[in-house]
Amino acid sequence: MITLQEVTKTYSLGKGSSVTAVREVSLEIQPCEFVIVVGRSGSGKTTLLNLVGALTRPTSGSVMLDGVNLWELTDPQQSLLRSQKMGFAFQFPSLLPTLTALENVRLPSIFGKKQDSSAIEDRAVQLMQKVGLEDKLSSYPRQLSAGQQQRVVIARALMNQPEVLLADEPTSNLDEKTELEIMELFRDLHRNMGITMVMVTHTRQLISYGTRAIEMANGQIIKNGS
Amino acid sequence: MNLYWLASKNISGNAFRTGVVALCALLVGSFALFTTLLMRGAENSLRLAINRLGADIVVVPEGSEAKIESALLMGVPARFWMSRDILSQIAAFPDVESASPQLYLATLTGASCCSVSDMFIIDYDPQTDFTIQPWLEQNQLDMLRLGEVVGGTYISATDGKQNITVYGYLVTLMANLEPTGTGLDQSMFLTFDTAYDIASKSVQQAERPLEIPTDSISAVMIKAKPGSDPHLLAVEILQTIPGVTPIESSNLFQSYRQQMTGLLKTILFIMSITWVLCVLLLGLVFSMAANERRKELGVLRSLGATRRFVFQSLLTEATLLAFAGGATGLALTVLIIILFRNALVALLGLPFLLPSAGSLLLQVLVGLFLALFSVNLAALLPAMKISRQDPAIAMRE
Amino acid sequence: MKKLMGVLLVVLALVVGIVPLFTDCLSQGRALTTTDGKTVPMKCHWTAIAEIGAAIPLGLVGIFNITSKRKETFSTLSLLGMGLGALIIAFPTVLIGVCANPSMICNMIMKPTLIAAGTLAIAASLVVFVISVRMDRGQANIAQAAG
Repeated sequence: MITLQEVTKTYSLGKGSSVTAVREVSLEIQPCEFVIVVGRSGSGKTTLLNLVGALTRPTSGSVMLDGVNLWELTDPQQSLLRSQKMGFAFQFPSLLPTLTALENVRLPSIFGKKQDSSAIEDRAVQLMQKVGLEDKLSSYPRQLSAGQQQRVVIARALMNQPEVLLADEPTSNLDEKTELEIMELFRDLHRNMGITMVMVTHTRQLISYGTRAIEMANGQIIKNGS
Repeated sequence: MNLYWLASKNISGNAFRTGVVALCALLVGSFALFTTLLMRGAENSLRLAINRLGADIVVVPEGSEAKIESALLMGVPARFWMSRDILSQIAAFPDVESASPQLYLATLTGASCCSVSDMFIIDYDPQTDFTIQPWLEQNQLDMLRLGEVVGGTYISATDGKQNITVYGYLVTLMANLEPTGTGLDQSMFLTFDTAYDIASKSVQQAERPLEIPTDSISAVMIKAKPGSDPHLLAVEILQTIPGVTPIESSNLFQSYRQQMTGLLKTILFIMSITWVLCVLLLGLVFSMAANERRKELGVLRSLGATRRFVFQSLLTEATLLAFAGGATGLALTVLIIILFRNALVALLGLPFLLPSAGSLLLQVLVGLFLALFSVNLAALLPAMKISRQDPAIAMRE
Repeated sequence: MKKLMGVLLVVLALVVGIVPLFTDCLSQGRALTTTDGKTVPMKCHWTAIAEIGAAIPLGLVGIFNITSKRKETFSTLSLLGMGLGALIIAFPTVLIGVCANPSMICNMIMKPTLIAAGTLAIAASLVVFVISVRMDRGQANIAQAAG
């Protein structure tokens, strides 16, 4: 279970000015939920996701995963927890350009539990099959379409069998057809693998894919319902 | 898949950045090695030349100090003489253990009667000599007879298997001395008797006769008695015998030492500037690289990389590039110095001897260390900065 | 990278063909006089002439490296390049030679330049060879995956 308690995040802009992206937000996300966070640009939804994923330190408040306060951990502990329990899909093309698709998928295994290299290879190939790209194992990101790249990102996010998948506007750079394909993939993964999902999007039409929708504005949650 | 694997993959990603870093490492490493090889090589040469002479003091006619240094170090034939009487005056000093005369001659330039042009010839007295004799004994060779010579390392027979023509006279090359990196390597050593024999026969046999002034010598090599002070002996000689200059072996080649020091200072100055510029350029390149790759590094953090992993990953890339560039530069430097040694000696006017394999390896390692240190120094701050950044901030537009 | 090595080989070919003509003893006005009064060049001059014979094919190897696209061509070219590099080194050292005196220009400049150029030609050709082998392996892997 993910718990945020009175979490605030303020970014310093230098010269004494700052911006508060998330303001005293409290939130609970239950296991196996598929939460969709919507809001306009600047509403704080990406920052909320980053706080949940411990990618940014809260200015105040606490972020807990299964009762563990993420910011009371050391950096190595936090990184290990992130590698074992979380998977990420970002809006921007986040594959490493010097690695092939298969190598990108295998990448999280460097930081996860120590495993046999053949077991790692097998799992990576399986995941590529799951996302429908078994014929693109040796392709480099520049040789893949935006939609294909995002599928590889999803496969990579699942490599270490995470409990939570966090996706920040994963379909915003895709055409409508590809967007729907990716959303279907997310839905299938949620249903078949029982992963807790938190997805940020500015497209209200995608709310129907989730089990709960949260709306944010001005750094606060204004609607929180199923 | 590990840190090194990831680092080597990242290096192949940006040819320009890789090229710049490797080039800077190449420059730093090769400059350092070039300097140390040159300076130590010159120092070794001077030391060997002095040891080869075996003398504590060398007495020459007043005003001939520069000529004898050029002759011994660079093989530039010297022509200066003083009266033979000076030898007996020197031998009379109580602190002189032995005094041996030498006579300096040279072959003709472009004459068919001399098969090697402008060769420096050192004539010695086998009865009193302590320069060539000990070497002959060490190498189980008999004293040189009439017509027999010993050559520096570069002297080889030009007429038949063992002969060299000097002023129309056929001498026999009996052996070659070990290299010193100095002009002694291109010189020939023979006895006074052979020299006078050549001179007398050159009237008929040579294009121009070899003229040796009567009762003249060019220099006196002095060995001081054990326990005596060569400096005091030199002062005594200077004060007692007019028209001569005694040179202590420690002061021998002083002008070359000064030249070396001057050259070293210049090279060190240039090297320092090059090093600073390289490190600044590298710092800039690494800063740009870290900035360009901040999203990628933020993604690595999201996958579970620790701050330490990101830091080590950047430094590993830097080290791999420094190693590749540095090693290439060092290999090229060694190749160039070995191949162009003679040209360097002629260009710099300094003797130079290649070091032993062990010494060379040590100097190569020093050069490599400097290259590694410089590149890692430049990469340190950008690596620290980027590894500490919040992953979310790193991934922001 | 292959194109870069090709350019390097062309440059080396120019060095090998031209530099010796200006750094042999004949170019400095030095020659041998025979017993019957004839003036003949010393052996370093013949080395310089022989090197032209190696430089021209090396230049062609470089040009083909730049223009060619076929993998098989690169393997052949690189082997040829290595052979020519070895020949360039062999001429001034074992096959013909240069003057014995170390202070003569052929010894100071010509011979080391040729040895350095020959070594670099071998190194550059080796790089092309390794790349052509990798190309071969890469194509085999793709064929295997497709099959």
